[in-house]
Formats: sequence, structure tokens, C-alpha cells
Amino acid sequence: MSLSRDIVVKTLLRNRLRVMSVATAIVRDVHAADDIFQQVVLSALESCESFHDSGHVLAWALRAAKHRSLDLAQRRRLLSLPDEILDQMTSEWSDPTSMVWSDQAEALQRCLGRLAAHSRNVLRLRYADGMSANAIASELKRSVDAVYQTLSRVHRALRQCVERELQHQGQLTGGELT
Amino acid sequence: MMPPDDDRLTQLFVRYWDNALTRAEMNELETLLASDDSARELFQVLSLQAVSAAEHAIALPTPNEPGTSKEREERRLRSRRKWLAYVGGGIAAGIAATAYGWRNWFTEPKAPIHVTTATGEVTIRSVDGGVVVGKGPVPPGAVVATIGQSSSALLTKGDGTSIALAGNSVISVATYGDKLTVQRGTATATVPARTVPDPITLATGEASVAHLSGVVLTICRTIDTTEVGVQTGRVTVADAGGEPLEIVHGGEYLTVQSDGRRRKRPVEPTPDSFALDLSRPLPEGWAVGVREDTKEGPVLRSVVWFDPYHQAAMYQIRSDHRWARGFVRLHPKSTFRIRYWVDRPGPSQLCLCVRTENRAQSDTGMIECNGAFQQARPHEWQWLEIRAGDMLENKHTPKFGAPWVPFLLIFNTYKEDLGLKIAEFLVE
Repeated sequence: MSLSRDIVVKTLLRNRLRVMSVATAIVRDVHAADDIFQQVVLSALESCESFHDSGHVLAWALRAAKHRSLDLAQRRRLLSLPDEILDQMTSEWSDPTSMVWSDQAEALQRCLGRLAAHSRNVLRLRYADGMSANAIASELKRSVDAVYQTLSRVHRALRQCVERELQHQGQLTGGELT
Repeated sequence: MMPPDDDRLTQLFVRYWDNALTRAEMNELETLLASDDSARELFQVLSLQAVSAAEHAIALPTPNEPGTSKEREERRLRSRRKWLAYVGGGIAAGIAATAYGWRNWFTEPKAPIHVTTATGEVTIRSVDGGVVVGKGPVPPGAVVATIGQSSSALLTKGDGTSIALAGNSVISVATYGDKLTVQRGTATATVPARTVPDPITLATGEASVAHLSGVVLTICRTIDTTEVGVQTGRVTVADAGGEPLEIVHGGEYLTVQSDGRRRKRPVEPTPDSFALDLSRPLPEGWAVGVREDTKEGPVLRSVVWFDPYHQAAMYQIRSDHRWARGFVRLHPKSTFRIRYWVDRPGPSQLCLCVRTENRAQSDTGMIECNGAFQQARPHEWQWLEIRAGDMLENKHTPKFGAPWVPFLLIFNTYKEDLGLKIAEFLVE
């Protein structure tokens, strides 16, 4: 039994962050990952008759995103992780029980909103503006190592914040992060 | 519960993002990911953080309000709709909404870019197919077109950045509303100096520029060539995949072809006279027409191609696109002298797309000699002589005074192959 186009689109939109995260992990460019997601949606709409359930759509979309991302990474001459590791991660990311994505994403948004301005700025330069650590270091007149350290620290702070958020949903501690 | 290698994995991730890992570090990352479930989960979390951080830069954070789980779920849905309206995923949602009438996934998108000045015929076509003529907001996914060479549009962002679109140009607003792709024609961006560069990206099929601050630059796109000219400041031009190509400073321009060939040159003053040198191969990026060696010497012959302006196959000669340097400075008394041959006379025109002397201005117009070879003698070399001042009577005549600087030359014999050959093309 094939799926309706509505179901396919709903499934993909519901799992947009998963697909984009797979692509991002490979191409390391959020804008390119969004383009890849859109290509995957279009491609899925052309293949609706071959899907038998939404799990199948998600697994297919993650694989399609992985292949397209690897192609782009190769064109950009990026070092890629071995295929078997990517396959393993893609398979785990398609497991609906692997992580509660929507809760994670919402907790992340709250935590991002509470980051100190300078940390948010570094993240914006890095991920929204697509700047390398070198370019950020030059922009902020800091050393490249300092930028890497800041990024590592902010990622760690976000992760800890999200864990707290998920543990105490609805009872937010407030206050500014690093 | 955090596994012991979290910090190390995060350090590796931030350097992996830059493609800056040594071979040994890459091996270390691979080993961690291959052997440790929690490392793979952390890698997943870090990737999600990257995506969320990028989107957070544009979207508002989800409100943090208490409530029942049903209320939270409703807020989540509203949040998701708003999210889709703001970010590039909205384009995909837009595709779905357009195809399947699923319009309630969207609230009205917030448009960070507006067409604030529209001269001539300007259209804004949104992703759901709606068309606005003239001024208005430009939602993500929309396409702005200036129709006719004498049309122009000024797109502005709230932060002071402006993009002037010349005539016969098409620009689309894509991902996140801050990536603009010049599909065809000429766009001049003026970005004020700022502490943090403008997140806007200007792109074509061949090149892109980003992280702009304190620059005035012009991007021209023709069939398979992009020209990036910088008037003020400097920019790093990357290829379509984001791979850096060249740094272009004020007073320089870079041409990038679809096959990857590129050339950076200083902008030289536009000369007051011009002669097409057919003793050498045609310039890089020459669009339509072929050079042939004949017993009378080298000639330029028209060929059939699909003209996007007329939406029809036509016999034409079309030069390369020289926005930055222009071909020649024209005054009303400047005279075109063209030695040509036709197998038979017929409907025909010589057209020059012109700009002002200031290449940062987007005003353009047409100088035309219509019926150029209508009275020609067949099978005979002959001269066409005409002054620029006599070529102004057309509907796209420039609305600015001389000097006019042609950036594109066109010979057009429409759908008829008149056997047009050009042996000399002089402007004095």
C-alpha cells in the first residue's frame, strides 16, 4: 500500500530536524543542509508510491540526505567520516526511540535564548553565517584556539542546559548561561 | 549522564566542522564514533545544536510558559508553524502547501526584504504563485523580476543593506530569506560598514559572496558566466559550493564561468572608442555567435539560440556581459560603423544594453537601431553607419543622459536566418 502525498510531506516536515542534522553532520553547512532537505522533499514526492509507512519515508529520507550530503562534501573536498559509521548513525537517527527530537529541539531553543550575548554571537557567526573559526577569530580579534575553546564550551553548556530542561520540564531554572 | 569523552568529542567536532582535523585526529574521531554508542548520540546532539543555533539566529525563541501538556502541544504546533514561516524549511513546506493546498501550515511570512522602489515593470512572485506588481515585501522563496531593460527595482533590508536590480534581471530570495540568488541580470549591493558582517549571501549558479560589510559590489549573471565587480571594500568570492575562489578588492572584478574557469582583473576606465578585434578568438564569455575565418578575413556569424527575453528561438550575435568595464562611453554623436554581409535583407536590429557611467547605479536602458539590415543589399559587403543619438527612439530608451556605457551588444535577426556576418564593428 502506498502512502498519500500528505502523509509523506507531514512525515518529512515532522522529521525535518533529523534530516537536516544528518546533512549538517556531513556537509557542515546548515544552509546547504536546508537545500538538501528541500531536494529530499521534492524527490520523496516523486516516489510516494514506493513508501509503505512513515518509518519507511524517514529511513529513505535520511539515506537520501546522506547520499546527497556526501556528494556535496566530496565536491567541497571535505574529509568525510567512513561510510559504515555514517550508515550506523543514519540508522540510529531513524530510530524513533533514539532521541525525543521535538522535545530536544524546543529545549535547545529555550537554552539558546538564555545564552550570553557573546556566546550567541559566536554561534551565529559559526552556524548561521557559516564562518570558519579562522574567520571568526579575525572578526572578533581573538586567537583561533580561543574560538575553538569558546565553541566547545558553548556546546557543552547547551547540552547540560538541555539535559536539565528535559529532566525538569516545566520547571525552568532561568538565568543566563555561559 | 555524560560519557567521559564528551569534552574531547566536542573539541573534535568543532574542528571537524572546519575540516581542520589532522589525519590522527580524524582517526581518533572515527574510533570514538565507531566504538561508542554515546559518542554517536553526542555527535547527533552537536549536529542538532548547529542547526538550531543557525535557525535561532533568525527565529524567535519558543516562549517558556507553563501549561498543560495539551496547551504545550498546541504551542508546539504554533511554534512549528511560525518556525516554518521564518526559515528555509518553509520553502519545502511551501512546495507542499502549493502542491496540495495545505496552506494552513503557514502564517504570513515575515519579510526581511522589501522592494521599496520600482521603476517600470517589476513583479514579486511568491512561492504560492501570487504575484505583486511594483513595491512590497519579498517573502522567503519569492522571485523579483524587472521586466524590460528600462525597469529597475531597489530591494532594501531593515538594517540598511540595499540591492539595486537592473533591467531584465531576476533575483530569488531563498533559504532563510537572507540568501539572494541572481538568476539573470545585474544586482548591485550596498552594505554599510558594521561590526558584525551582514548575514546576507548573494549568489549565482557560479559564485557566491557572504559576510559583507562596508562594500558596494555588483553581480552580473548571464548564460553561464558570473561577473563580480567591487566598487568599495573587498569580498571573498566562493564558488557555488562555497569553496573560496578569490578575494576581490575595490576596483577589481572577477569573472567565473560555469566550467570553473575564472579571471580577476582591475577595472580599467571605459574607453571613448571601441573596435571588435576579430583577428583573435572571441573574448571569454562571448554568449552567442561564432567567429569564422573566411577568404575575406575573420567574421562573426549569427547563430540560432533561445532568447529568454522574447521566449523564442532567434538568430543572434550576443557579446559577453561587461558590466564592470563596459565597452565604450557613448555620446549622442558617437558613431557606429559596421561592415556586414547578409544573404537577404529582413527584420533586424542592433541593440546595446547601456548603463550610466557609475557602475554602482542600476539604471539601465536600450539603444537600438531597429530595421538595421532591412534595406541591405544581398550578397555584398557594405557598411552600416549610425549615431548613438539616432538610436534612442525605443520603449526602453535610457532615462538618464549621456554618457551611456554599453555592457551588452546584440545583433538580432529574429526568427529569420538572414545569413548575417559582421567583419568590422567600430565605435568612435
